[in-house]
Parts: sequence; structure tokens; C-alpha cells
Amino acid sequence: MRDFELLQPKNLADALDALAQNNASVHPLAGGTDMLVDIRAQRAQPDVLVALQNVNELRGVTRTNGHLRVGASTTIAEFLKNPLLTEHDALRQAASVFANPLIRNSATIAGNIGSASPAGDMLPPLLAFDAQIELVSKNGTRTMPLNEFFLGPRKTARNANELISNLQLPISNLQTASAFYKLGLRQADAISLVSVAVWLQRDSDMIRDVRIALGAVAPRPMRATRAEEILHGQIFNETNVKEAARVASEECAPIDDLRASANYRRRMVNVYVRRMLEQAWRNF
Amino acid sequence: MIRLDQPNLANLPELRHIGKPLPRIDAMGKVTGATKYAGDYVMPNMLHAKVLRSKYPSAKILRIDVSKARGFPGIVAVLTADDLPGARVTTDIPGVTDTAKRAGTDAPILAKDRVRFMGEAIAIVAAEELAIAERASDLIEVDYEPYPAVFTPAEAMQPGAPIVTEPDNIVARWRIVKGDADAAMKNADVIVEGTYKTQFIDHAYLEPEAGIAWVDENGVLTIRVSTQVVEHFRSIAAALQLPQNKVHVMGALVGGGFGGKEDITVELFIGLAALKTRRPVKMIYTREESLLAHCKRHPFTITHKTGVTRSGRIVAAQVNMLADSGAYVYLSPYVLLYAASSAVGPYRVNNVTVNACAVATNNTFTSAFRGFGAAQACVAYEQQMDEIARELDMDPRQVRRINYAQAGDTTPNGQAFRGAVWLEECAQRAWDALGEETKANAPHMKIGRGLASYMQSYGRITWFHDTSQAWVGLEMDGSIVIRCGVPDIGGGQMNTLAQITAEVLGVPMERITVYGTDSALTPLAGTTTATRQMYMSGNATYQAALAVRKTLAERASQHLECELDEIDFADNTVFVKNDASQNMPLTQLIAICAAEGLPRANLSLFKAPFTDKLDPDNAQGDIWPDYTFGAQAVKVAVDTETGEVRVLKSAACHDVGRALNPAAVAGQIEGGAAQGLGYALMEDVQIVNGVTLTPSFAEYLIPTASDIPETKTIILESGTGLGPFGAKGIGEPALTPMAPAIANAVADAIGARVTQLPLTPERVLEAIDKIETRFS
Ligand SMILES: Cc1cc2nc3c(=O)[nH]c(=O)nc-3n(C[C@H](O)[C@H](O)[C@H](O)COP(=O)(O)OP(=O)(O)OC[C@H]3O[C@@H](n4cnc5c(N)ncnc54)[C@H](O)[C@@H]3O)c2cc1C
Repeated sequence: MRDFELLQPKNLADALDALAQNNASVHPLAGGTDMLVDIRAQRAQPDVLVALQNVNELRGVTRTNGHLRVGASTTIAEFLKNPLLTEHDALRQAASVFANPLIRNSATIAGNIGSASPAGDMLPPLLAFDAQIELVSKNGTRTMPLNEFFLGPRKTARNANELISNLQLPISNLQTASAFYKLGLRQADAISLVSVAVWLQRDSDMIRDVRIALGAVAPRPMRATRAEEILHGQIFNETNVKEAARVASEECAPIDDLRASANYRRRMVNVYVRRMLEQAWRNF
Repeated sequence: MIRLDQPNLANLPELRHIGKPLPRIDAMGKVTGATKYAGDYVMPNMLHAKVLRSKYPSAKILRIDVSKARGFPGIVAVLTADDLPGARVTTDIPGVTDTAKRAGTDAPILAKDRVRFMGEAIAIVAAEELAIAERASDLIEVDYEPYPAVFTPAEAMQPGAPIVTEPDNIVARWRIVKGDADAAMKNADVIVEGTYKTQFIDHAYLEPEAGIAWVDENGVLTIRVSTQVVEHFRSIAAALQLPQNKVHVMGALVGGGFGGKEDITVELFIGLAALKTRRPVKMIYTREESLLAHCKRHPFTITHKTGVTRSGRIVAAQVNMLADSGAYVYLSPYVLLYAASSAVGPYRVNNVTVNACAVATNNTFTSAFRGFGAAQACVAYEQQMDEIARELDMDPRQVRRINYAQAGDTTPNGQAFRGAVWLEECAQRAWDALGEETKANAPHMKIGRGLASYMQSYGRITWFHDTSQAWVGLEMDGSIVIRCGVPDIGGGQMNTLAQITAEVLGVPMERITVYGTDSALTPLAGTTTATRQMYMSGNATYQAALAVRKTLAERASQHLECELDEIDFADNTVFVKNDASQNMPLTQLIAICAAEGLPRANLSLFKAPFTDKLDPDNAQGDIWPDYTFGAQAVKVAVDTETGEVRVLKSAACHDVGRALNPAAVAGQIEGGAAQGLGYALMEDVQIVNGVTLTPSFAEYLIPTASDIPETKTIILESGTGLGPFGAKGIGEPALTPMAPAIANAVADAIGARVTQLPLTPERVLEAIDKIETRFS
């Protein structure tokens, strides 16, 4: 394993200072559950790692005027414990099938986003909740829809001097429900073949609003917008749900790899979009 | 028929330690982390070694330039084939008494001018620091020229195919003929044909291959290594051109073997480096290296043609087997024999022909893996039994019942089952343990149940002339030392010896220390393979302990003035059976014996039955001392829209003859079922065009705790085994029936069969699609 320098700033300002010296390859380090694996496999070759575990400004989950604010360093395990988080079914379900209990204790939400794997399991639920991502640097703060943050496999809109500081999820007071499923080749510690998250807002028999997000079936986690359009403002019934699932399976762009064929993945998008819509609806 | 030289059990009183789930003597060290594994040892002045491995599955080596590496700071030695002229290592079975070695079985230690699989060793680098040794691949230049390659046995058998192993890529063939299958097939009412395929899998032990070697003060090359076979010291000596008594292999507790540490692993690399540098040299494979470059389980393609009567009786069977031996021979011929000989399973089939062939390819080499060919055979014959039932529209359990072998029936090679054959009992108990039939909770879910029966030998091939030795001695304070060269690979091999000795000499387990796994300091006990240590070293220890007991009992009977057979030993005391008030402390008896010069220790050799080799024309003859029988039942849920399979329930019933330690037996059964589940559902070393696509545990999936249901273990004790107290081996057998039981359960659930392991969701869905197109 190649040598690197490890900085352990005590606060956000120091962390941002460390990132600002862009004369070397400097990377943030959160739980390290991707970063250390990547260094060993020589996929990442940082000169300097800026460890974030002492940066308290990146921690904490709060709920303020219609928004859930999730600190960058929130671990996956916290999504299974903190009542502010656990009430969101899709997030909780994703966390519950994420890696294994040990990894969940270290892995953070920002790390999952920062790695920008198309198969990152927290990403479809965050897209389904229409999360905004906040980025901070010495020059200031900016916010963008998470959906625009992912540019491709391992590629994001983050500048090298920026940190992900938190995520903001709009929380509606109206009737909403969500659901998530991960299809892997075993029950834990599996890389998703397909993952599906849906979020629904109901108005009696009607779908007032809907978001469908897919993982591992495109170069980046994606919203199935055409499928969403089919349901938007429509009656929730079998025909509409089936049609939306079919369209979702058409608009994704999976690949063949050693785990499964593109065809199979497409078909599973069809099955699981349907099932997750039904499951979320049942939860109202 | 094999003659049995069983020690006489008749004199033993009621059992006090045997049959009890006593905590294992190695448990505390393992639980607290105090146990040292081979890779934990460090020595002053130690070097770290790495192997440079081939990047290509098949290539000529045009040039190896080590000059950069030799001059690099911190690198102490670089070795290539040029530094060890002609050095090859035998891959044939160790400890075979035959003087003739099978031709073509040697492999180069380091490749010289040709590499035959991706990951083959080319050079060894020993350095002051591991990080420096790891740079070997940057510092050594190798020029390759692609060489024609073959990647499947079928291709490798074609005329004109590139040759991996001289003369024709065929590394082994067995043709077994019993009765006249051709003629009998004509009398069949129904002929059922099926082809079943298995995949490469990895042993995936927690502890990868590891060792440390040094030359001791007497010039003895000493190797501390994680191994199932300390007796490789002989082939190590031959490969390094040293006298056999100048190589000393010390094992350590092994963090999992499963056959993967049956062949030589790191021994020669670190041995060569230690000889060259005269410094201790350590090597631990990375997980990636282990997945890439140590042996795998043989993939098999097995074709059954079975003739049956309408009433379900099998009248003839023709079985063809094709196995991929990878780039080197290793144990392929024997793995193939295990498969061929159990081709029709534990059923009475009077007319059988088996044609089995193992073929070299440019894939990673294959060798021993728990079940050793017999497991692959079971995957096929048990699915075939269910297919026969389907063709006849009968209950698969009924078809089995009609055909189960009975005591005295014979295998395809004519070997008779000598002890109890409790197949029906085991199957019934395992099946009943699944409980009532249950219904699925959603329309797209289907529940299925499956069963597999099996037979699996224990003990080595009988023309290998297998022996084991053990030494048992009493110390002056009444504690006991056992010396027996048994490698303990986690199955409790050493514990079993302690438990047997505790029984015979009436001393509690905590007063017994076992020294094992040392080729020079402990009496040689043979390999921890072939489910043989309880049987072989258990008997050797038992004999030695009985001999000690006899001397002591004779002296005690004088002292206590009673008949010899009235003497008993328990709780560190010697007493008269019917009058325990007549007793003496064991230490007092020992002191008397010591003062009179009576032996308080014994070295005993146990000899398995020996036979001649098989008839070369039809492979008739005995092969193994005995068999274990049993059954595995499972209940699965299949999602018919996605192909996902969950194993809901698992129950296994095995006749282990006698469970010396029921907790250890249950451990083997649960572990075997879990490993078998991985084999059935997910494990798959994907080697495509010679390239391993699953180089780490991120791609090579083994079951997690969340995938494994509890296995209900049902232990039957017929008392007819050849081990001490009538025990039979259970190490390998525990795995064998699980994969076909799952395959049968999935077929039961969906009404179609996936004939290729593993049963991935995608394959299951394809099978479901086929039925749907058939109906539409
Ligand atoms: C055994 C195992 C199982 C796994 N299973 C799963 C799984 O089931 N599902 C899944 O999605 N993933 C899984 N992973 C991957 C990994 O655990 C997750 O992606 C995790 O969320 C990464 O978080 P981390 O805190 O460990 O990130 P790190 O490894 O520390 O960092 C990951 C990336 O994010 C960047 N980063 C971290 N924090 C910030 C920040 N605040 N601002 C900007 N950039 C940042 C880092 O520079 C790096 O590029 C698994 C990993 C392992 C080792």
C-alpha cells in the first residue's frame, strides 16, 4: 500500500484549509470503507487524506421548517437508530441492507455520495426524497439538487477544495410514503444488481406526486422521470403502475457484468418498480 | 473383502468422556485470540517474500530481467527458475508407498520458459520490508509471447488442440464396468437422461496460505506453515535436493483447510529464499493471490443415462464425467476416481458403466476440496434421482427407497458396504425435521422441498498403505502428553485424541496436552485429508492409550489384589469396579510403575486395511476402508418473478457410527451445510478465457450469516464405523448432500430444473421462462 499523509483537523475551518492547498492530491476521508479499499487496489492514490471524524460541524441530524438536515458524517447505522431518520421507510430499508453491521458503523452518507458508485445503496432513496446537497469550501457554500451532483461512475460535481457538508430533504406534511428494495446475490455484503426507491404523495385515489429512483442500472444513480410522468396526477391502479414499471425498465441503461446480464437487470427494474410502488401505497 | 483389525472394545466400561459435548481444548485460545496461526510468527532478522506471478494464462516467457530488482535497496534476494536448475515439485499424492511416480505429474516451482495459467509463479523476491517485496512486479521485467491456449475440457480434447499437459491433455481416465449396462438398458421401461454441471469454487478459508522458513543451527531447513500435510517435508526435500531429514515442517493451528492446504503452497518459495539468504523468510498470500493462484474445486460435466422399470427400479446406468484439471495435474486423477466410483450414489445398481476423464486446460489448477469429486458426483446423481421420479410421476423419496443400497451391496467398482447402511432412516429423519408443508404468502412466491442422500468414503485409498502413529504418556503428576503428528485444521482433530485418551485413562481433558503437526518431533500421523484423522490417528491414539492402560491395570490389580478386568480408571483414580472404596490415586500407581521401570508411555501404529490396485480393465476392486451415509433436506422459497432463492429450513441426518464429541460433529454438519449452500447458490470462481473475474471477496461471494438458516442436525449412531468406539468420519460427508438438496428443492418449487450450479437468480428465472414458453 502506498504511503500518504493523514491530517486530522479538529474543525471545519482547518479541514477546508487542508483541502485548499491544491498542490497535491488531497482527499477527504470519512469512514474509509471505500477509500482504504481503493488505495489498496490502487484505484485511488492520494498524497494527503483529510480525516473528518473530529469535525463536529459535519455531524448531526435536525429538522427545521420543512427540511430534514442530515450531516455529512452521519453513519449508515444512524439511519437505523435516529427516529428523525427511521421514519423515512426507503432510507431505513436501504440502511438495513447496506453492507453489514460493522461497515454500517463506519460508513457515512457523504462517503456513499462521494464515491458516486452507480450501485451506492443510499443514493436512490436520497434521490427519491429529492435531496439537496450542500457543498462548502473556503470560498463559501453552494447547494444543488443531488440529482445533478452525479456526473458518471465515480464522477461528481464536487470541486477538489469542497466538502459535502450536509443533505437537505424536503419533508412534506401531506401524506407521503416510500419504499426501497435492493436485489443482490446474497443477503448482506452484496453489491446491488438493481436497487429501486420510490416516494409517493397521495391524494385520495390519486398520486399527487411521485419520484422513482434506480441504482446500478445506469452510469449514475438515476431518476426514472418518464415513468414518474405516467403516474403523476393519475389514479393509482394496476394498469398505471404496470405501465410505469415497464417504462422505467426501458429508460434505464444497465450493462452486462459478471453478476448479471443487462437484460436481467432491466427486467428486475420492471418487477421492483411495480412492487415498490405497491408497497409504498400499502403503507399509507 | 477387507479384513478388520479393530482393537477389542469389549473390556471398556461405561463411557465417561466419549459421546459428551465437551468444550474443545483449543477453544479458549481461539476465542481470546491467543492462538497463533502460521502467519503470526515473527523472527529476528526476518525477511518478507512475494511471488511474481504470470499476467497471462498461456504464454512463452521470452526474457526475465531481474537486474533492477537485484540492485533495489531493501531487496535481499531475487530467485527465478535459472537459480534452481531443473527444480520441479511432485504434485502426486504424498506418502504413497509406491516407488513409481505417476508420469507427468511434476510441476515447475518457478516457470522457466512457459506459463500455463494466470497467476503461475515466475520469481520470488525476498526483502527487508513487505512493502518493498510488493514492488517486485514493478521491478522485474518479463517479456511474454502469447501461446495458444485452451479453456474448456471439450476444446482441450479436440485433435490438434494446444497441449497443456503432455502428451494429449488427458491427465486421467477411469472406466468402471460392473455387469452389462448396455444389455440391461434394453430391459428398461423408461430411460432418463440428464446432464449436470458444476463450477470452480474456492475454499475461502479465513486464513490464507502462510508460512515462515529458516535454516536452523544444525542446517535443517525448518518451515512453520499452515498446512493439512506436514509430510510434504519429503517432496520439499526432493524438490530442493536436500536429504529428507534436513527438512522439518512444523504446522500450526490451521484457519481452515477444506483441501486447499493439502498440496504444497508457500513452502518451497520461503524454503528457497531461506536457503539462499540464510535468514528467516515469511510469506502470507493476499486474498487475491489465494483466489487467483491456489487450487480450485474441479468443475464437472456429468451425464447420466439411467434405465428404470415402471415401478421405479434402476436396472442400468451409464455415466460420463468430464472434469477440468486446470494447468497442472495435482490430485485430479484421485478426485476423478472418487467421482467415478460414487457415480450412481448409494443405490443398488447392478449394471453400471462409468467413463470419467480429467483434462488439462489453461485455467487455474484444480485439486482437493472437501468432498473430493464425490461431492460433484452427488450433485449429479441426486438431481438425476429426482428427474427419474419426475419421469415416472413418483415421489422422489419413494424412488430412492426402492433403490437404496443395503449392507452388503456393492459400489460400481464392486466394493461391498461392510457396516450399517442407514440411508432410509437418515432420509426420513431429515425430511420429517422440515415439518409440515407450508404455503407461500404471495402469488409470485413458490415453496419447494428437496432431499439428497449420499455416500462418502472416509480414510484414504487402500492401496496407499495408510498408517498413523501416536504416542501417549503419563507424567509423574498424572497429567498426560499425547504426541501425534496430526495437523489440526479446525475440526478438533487434536481434541478428539484428547477425548479418546481421557476415556481410556480416566483423566479429565484439562489434564491432557496434545502436541501435533510436526514432521520431526511428533510421530508421523499422515495427512488431515480424506476424512481420515479421527479414524486413523484416533485409532493410533486409542491403541497407545490402551497399551498404557494395560500396563497400569496389571500393576494396579496386584496392588489392589483383584482381577485385571475388575480394574477401572476415572477421575485421576484407579479403583475396583464393584467396590470403589478399593482404590488408589493415579499418581501413586504411576510412582510405583516408575520405581519399577514399567513403561508409562506407548507409541502405537495404526494400519488401515491394505488392498491391491484396481483391475485395469474394469476398475473392479476395493478403494476405501469404509463409507459414511446420510441425507440432507431443505425447504426453499423461490420468487418466480425474479429467481431469488432463500433457504428457509435445513435439516441433516448422518450416521456417524458414534459421535465421539456430538458438539464437534454438529459443528461439522452445520459448517458443511453452510458451505454446501454457498456451492449451490452463489459461489463461483468465474474464469473466462483463463482470466479470473472474481479476484476478491467483493466478487467471489460466500454465504453470510444472513443467508444461512439454522441446520437441524440429527446424529445417528449405528456403532459400525472403523474409528474408535465405532465412529465414522463426518468432515467431508457433511458438505456433500447440501447442493443437490437445494437444487432439488428449487426444482420442486418452480417445476423446472437449473442443471448448472450455482443457481443464480438469473438462471432460475431462465428456467421458469422455459416452462412458460412451453405452455404458451
Ligand atoms: C465490506 C463492504 C461492504 C460494502 N457494502 C456496501 C453496500 O452494501 N452498499 C453501498 O452502497 N456501499 C457499500 N460499501 C461501500 C462503502 O461502505 C460506502 O460507499 C460508504 O458509504 C462509504 O462511506 P465512508 O464514510 O466509508 O467513505 P470514505 O471511504 O471515507 O470516502 C468515500 C469517498 O467519499 C469522499 N468523501 C467522504 N466524505 C466526504 C465529504 N464530507 N465531502 C466530500 N467527499 C467526501 C472521499 O474522499 C472518498 O472519495 C461497502 C464497503 C465495504 C468495504
